[in-house]
Amino acid sequence: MMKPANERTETLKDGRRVLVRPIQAGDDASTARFLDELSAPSKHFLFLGGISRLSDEALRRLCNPDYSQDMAFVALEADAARGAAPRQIAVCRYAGASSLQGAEISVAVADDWQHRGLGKRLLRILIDYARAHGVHRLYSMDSMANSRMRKLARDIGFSEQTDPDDKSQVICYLDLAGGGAGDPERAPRSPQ
Amino acid sequence: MATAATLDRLPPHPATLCDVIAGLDAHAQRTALIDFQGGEPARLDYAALAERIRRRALRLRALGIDRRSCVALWAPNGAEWVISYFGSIRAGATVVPIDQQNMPTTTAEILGHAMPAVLLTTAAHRDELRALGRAPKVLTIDPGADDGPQSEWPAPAADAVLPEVEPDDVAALLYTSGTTGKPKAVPLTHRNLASNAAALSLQRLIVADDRVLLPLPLHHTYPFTVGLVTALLKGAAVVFPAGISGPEITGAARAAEATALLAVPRLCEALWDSVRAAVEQRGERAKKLFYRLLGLSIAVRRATGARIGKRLFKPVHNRLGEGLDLIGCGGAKLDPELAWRLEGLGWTVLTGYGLTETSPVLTFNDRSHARLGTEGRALPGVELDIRPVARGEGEREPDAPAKHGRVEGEIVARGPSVFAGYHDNPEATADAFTPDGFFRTGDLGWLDRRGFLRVVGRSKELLVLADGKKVFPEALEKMYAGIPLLREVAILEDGGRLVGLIVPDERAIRERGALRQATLLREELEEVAARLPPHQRLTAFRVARSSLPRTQLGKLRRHLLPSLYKQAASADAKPASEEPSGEDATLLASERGRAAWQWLVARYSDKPLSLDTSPQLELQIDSLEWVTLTTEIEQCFRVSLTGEAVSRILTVRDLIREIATADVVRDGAAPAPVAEVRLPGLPLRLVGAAIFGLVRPLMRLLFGVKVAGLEHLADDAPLVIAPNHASYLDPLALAAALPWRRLRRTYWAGWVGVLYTGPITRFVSRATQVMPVDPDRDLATTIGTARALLERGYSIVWFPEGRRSPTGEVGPFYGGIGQLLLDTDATALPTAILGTFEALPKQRRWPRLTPLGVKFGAPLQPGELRSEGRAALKISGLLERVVRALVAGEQEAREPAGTKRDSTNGGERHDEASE
Repeated sequence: MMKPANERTETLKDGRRVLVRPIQAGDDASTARFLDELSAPSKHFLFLGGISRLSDEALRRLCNPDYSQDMAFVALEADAARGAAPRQIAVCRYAGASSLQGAEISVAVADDWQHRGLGKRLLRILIDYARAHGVHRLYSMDSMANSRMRKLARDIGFSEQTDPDDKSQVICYLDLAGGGAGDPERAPRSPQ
Repeated sequence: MATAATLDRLPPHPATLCDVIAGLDAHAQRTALIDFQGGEPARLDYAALAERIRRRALRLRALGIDRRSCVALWAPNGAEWVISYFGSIRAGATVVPIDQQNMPTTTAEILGHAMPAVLLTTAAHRDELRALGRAPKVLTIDPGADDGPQSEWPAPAADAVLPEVEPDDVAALLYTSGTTGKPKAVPLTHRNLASNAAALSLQRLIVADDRVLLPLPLHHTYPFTVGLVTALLKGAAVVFPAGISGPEITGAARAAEATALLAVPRLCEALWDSVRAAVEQRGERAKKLFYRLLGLSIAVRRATGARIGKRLFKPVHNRLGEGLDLIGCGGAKLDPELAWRLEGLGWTVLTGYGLTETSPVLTFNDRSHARLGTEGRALPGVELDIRPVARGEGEREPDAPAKHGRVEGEIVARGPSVFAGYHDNPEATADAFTPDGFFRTGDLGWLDRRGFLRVVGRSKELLVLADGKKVFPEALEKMYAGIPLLREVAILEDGGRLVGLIVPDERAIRERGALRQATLLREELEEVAARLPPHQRLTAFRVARSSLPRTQLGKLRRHLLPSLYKQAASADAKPASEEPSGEDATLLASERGRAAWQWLVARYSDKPLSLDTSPQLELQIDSLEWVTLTTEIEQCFRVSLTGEAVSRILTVRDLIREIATADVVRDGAAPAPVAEVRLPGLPLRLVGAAIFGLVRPLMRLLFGVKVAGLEHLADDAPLVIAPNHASYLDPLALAAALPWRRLRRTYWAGWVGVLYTGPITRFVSRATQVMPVDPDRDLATTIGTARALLERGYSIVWFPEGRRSPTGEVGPFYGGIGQLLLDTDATALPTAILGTFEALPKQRRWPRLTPLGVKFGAPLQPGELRSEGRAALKISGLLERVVRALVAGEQEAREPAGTKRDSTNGGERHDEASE
């Protein structure tokens, strides 16, 4: 599968702009920095437990997805100073598209860019991509205490159930195959 | 549940704790409290207790305490605690009882949040609590503190009226830890606490003639409500042992003739362990007999309910007193096997369940309807329900598990003893209740047909340890994740104890030099542990070979950790039949490679080996062992591994590669460790003299260094001086203590990482005769240098602990000094340095000017050092014991007996947490 070339600029609620594009091989440094700079609670919700830094190998895998199975979109500051490398501020990815339970999905936003709808935007972009590429189901594993992620998932149309292996976690899932209007805001509006 | 009148005299349904206080007089001359804290048991009867409570309340009124005030209480269990608590209640205030084991920062946070008008504590802690600056007044409650000319307490106002409190007034504000580590404030009203105690007293757990032994700290609702208030309602006696050690508890139990013990699972385990240990000592036959009788006793108990253990196991009951009949256990789940064993021994074991937020008891087994393995039935007035766990707007899970016809879910409760919400925390409160007003316990369980509750797990990420303490693993992991040598760390519970599973950062370790990997890791973990309260410290850790189990996107699968932890112990290596990679195959095919592998397998025949095995962590090869190993490698393979090469070795594969590729040494030319010693020339010696000439009088002036044992340094014979190490002040104090002649002929073993880092430090170190030591490179060179110096008549100062003790206690001595003494036949001089930890511990930047002392012990000749064996570790061990005894002896002389070491000063080293 060819690497998608789409790159777009999104404007958020507060007027700030971000550049959203697929992840590239050269992103491992900025990804490492992004993960490093995440606050401890955000890092915990992303990894669900005790990790200081990723190994070089894990980082390489994250930045070089197998496009037949995985995909990741990163968001960068659009208005970075000229010449400076734009900072990575969010990432949304899925992996394992052809497995039976579907592709696992996750989203993380830098702490100073949260509460602006960026997570939701990225998630929608990723879901559209997944649907267009035949992914049949998406699911996310989250801590019961991550109420923001759970609400975000619910708003987009995910259903929720308790993780059978770990009662302190939930699994949010979305079936894409039905092509249904899971997302209330995307539902076709009836003519007035 | 019946609420019919009972046989015991009982004030009719106390609505407030003040009603409980008012009821004390009715018990008149009966003993209320027996306090062993002061050594001799002090008895207080009910009338006296009531009077002292009243007087304390009047004094608090005179201070301006009223129904809007908070009074904080930070003190150990005892009569004074009880009087202060109830005195404050009687004055109408809300009490904030604080855990003495909290870190000072946590205590400060709690005080800042609760904003008490006055903080009550003991004289020993008044100054440090005052220094926190969070309470306008800090008063002491030791016996006699109220009266007397020195007292800061006002006289009780003669005509003062004590207020009437309402059932819904907040009686106590308790703090529990939250997910993010920030404590949550739980307000418990009079109604909450009084109704719980009243309901408990209807269970007839305790009667008026009982004497309840209460070793658990009263700031927890469990011992407070179940042990104290219920006993006071009944007119029973409460016994406070002097401390929580085995002898103190058993001593108090016997002396006071206790009839009931309030415990947590940890204490029950300790009780069983001590019985078992005593039995093991009696030999095989006694052991067999014991277990057979125990089995019989349990079988009889199960079949008929009769307890014959009391008669069968008389010696066991003699230890705690024949009168001890009941063991109440709460705080965490008690292993049913253990409960049966204790019942088999003849005690009545009753368990219960509840939380701080429910004052605390929700369910408790009562004497007539107890079911071991359950938590009992709901107390009168408590409504219990089991709710499905998914919180999606009250919808049920698609396939609710219905194993064996039982419905598991989250335990929720409602009733007069359940609190109304967290103080000042609307978010947490909203999360804590269902839409119809039931409190979510966060625990999972099920109710059987007869209403007995079983708790099966937790729905929140919370670990409950065997002593009842609760820990959020996530909050802890954050603290440990800061260690640069660790890539991943997961905290879990193993057998009720807190343990860690870690993945080291290979790159960071390689950079540091892999020689002392296990030691470094342990040191880093202990460093973090020293900053945490005792119950949050890891009791053990194991290393995971590869990354922790995670999903494709890196999310930790926590439920797989327990089995991984168990595997990590047995170091179950990959099966031998696994195909080696191409490179590995080549390595093992070479002649030397194959020989090296076979040699290793034979040498470590009791451990499963693979090319990925870590020599340091899994084969326990430390710097000492490397010396032995490299010598053997030289003999077997005729190759010499340099210190550099050894520090690069992280796996068995690396080791074999080094052996296979090193240059073969020509026969007969085995190199001896070359010891180059550049003694400083005259100009440098003068600089050194000048530096010491300044340091010594300065130290004596600022710290007044007291010296003893100089007679052991009378002659000029070279010595290896081995002091304890707790502070950077140690070498300075020692320099001030040594006689000048000796000092000028002494070399100091100094860690290159600190003392040879830049041109200035290098210069000063050479001038002051510091011998550079790098513990991460090989030890043989260092020993060679030391030998050369000793032969020239110089003495050496070597700190065997390796680094400054984080707690002030003498830590384990590394093997290096043992090897040094063994190889050089030197005489050792054990030395105690005192006062430096108090003056400048690891955590401080500037020293306190407190007096220091140096005591030189009697020298240990080589023969004495080897009296336990000619092995480096034995010698180090012996030396460690001598130094420990020397330090302890000197400390006794400095501090009068009876002033206990403060457990809040950085915490004490625990091998197993003594709760």
